[in-house]
Amino acid sequence: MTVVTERYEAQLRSLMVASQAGDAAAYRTLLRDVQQRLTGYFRQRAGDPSAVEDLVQETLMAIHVKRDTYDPGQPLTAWIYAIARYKLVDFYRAHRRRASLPLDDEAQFLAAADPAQGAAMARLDLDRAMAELSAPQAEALRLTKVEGLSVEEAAARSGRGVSAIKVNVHRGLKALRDRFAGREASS
Amino acid sequence: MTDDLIERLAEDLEPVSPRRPLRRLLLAVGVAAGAGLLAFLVLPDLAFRADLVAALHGVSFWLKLAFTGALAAIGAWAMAALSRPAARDPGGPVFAAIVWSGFAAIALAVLAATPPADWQALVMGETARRCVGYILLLSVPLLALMLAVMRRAAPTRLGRAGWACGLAAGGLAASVYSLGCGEASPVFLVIWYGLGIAATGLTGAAAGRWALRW
Repeated sequence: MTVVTERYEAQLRSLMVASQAGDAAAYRTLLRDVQQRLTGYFRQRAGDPSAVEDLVQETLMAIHVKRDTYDPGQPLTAWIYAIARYKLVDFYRAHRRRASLPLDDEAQFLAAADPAQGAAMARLDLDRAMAELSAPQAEALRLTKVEGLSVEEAAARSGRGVSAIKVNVHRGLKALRDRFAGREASS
Repeated sequence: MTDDLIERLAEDLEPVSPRRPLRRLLLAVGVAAGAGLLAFLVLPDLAFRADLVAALHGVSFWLKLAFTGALAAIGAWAMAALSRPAARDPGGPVFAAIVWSGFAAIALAVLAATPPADWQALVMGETARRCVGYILLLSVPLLALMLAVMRRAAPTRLGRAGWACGLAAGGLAASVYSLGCGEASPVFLVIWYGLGIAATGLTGAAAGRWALRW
């Protein structure tokens, strides 16, 4: 987690330094990434789902207008988090909500978007792994494990026999297990 | 929708210097000092002390300027820190208290060396009310300037940022006023100058909560 965060911080920071120098492509990449983080952050805290996009846009505009206040010697995620938190406090104030905002640090801000990102990464890994299976194995797995059909239903849907489905599920799972185990051992 | 916004912001992108907020702050401090000196031309009741040149050779003149200048510098330094999001609080109030205590120690030493019958003159001087009043008067436009500069930056702790603006403005106003003030007593300095600067700091903290919103 911390290694990922540090690498992420370094990436974002170099994008921001390039943006301060006027690199629009780097800036676009930075803002898109930050948008994801902000959406996760505000979704958890704003209370009102319809306000999330407004808050994200307000924060992005604030980042834009105030981008000269980022000191490249300081952590960028902390800078962004402080702006997001400021906009959230402003939102609470405007809506006269007496919500107590936890004094969380930017580590939690980073974590805010991680569950969604983690799931997306897992999905990506699974898709990649499934692509290496044979077509009957992949189909059997998709029908029984992803769509949740019974072996009989899967057999009817695919037009194969019940035993063929069972064998393909078994072999497919074994292949996936070997693949992920092998990658874990090598990483 | 947000994608459109990102596209527009990227098209609008121009190079910026991360040193710009600090340069702007230093410029504001210079302008504030200059504007404060202008008050000597504008306000009929305010004049450079007649013995200013002679006073340059005395200790009390520099003692006053050191006191007010140090507090102004702490204010400006805290402003620089608090104008950035996620800035660590530099502990400005602590340093301001240390400076005040140091000068208060000098004042106590002076009192201890003086017969109690003369304490009244050391404490009240001849211009106590005028001193506080002028420092507050001079600090109003300076505080407005400091708050405007702070608002252009990105403070996220508005009360503290406002306090730093007030300390800088009060310190500058008091520095300017000291050029027209003939009081020599350190006791007078820590009480009345201290009071004027502290009041400006508190005004800044109160005003900052709404004046600094962005």
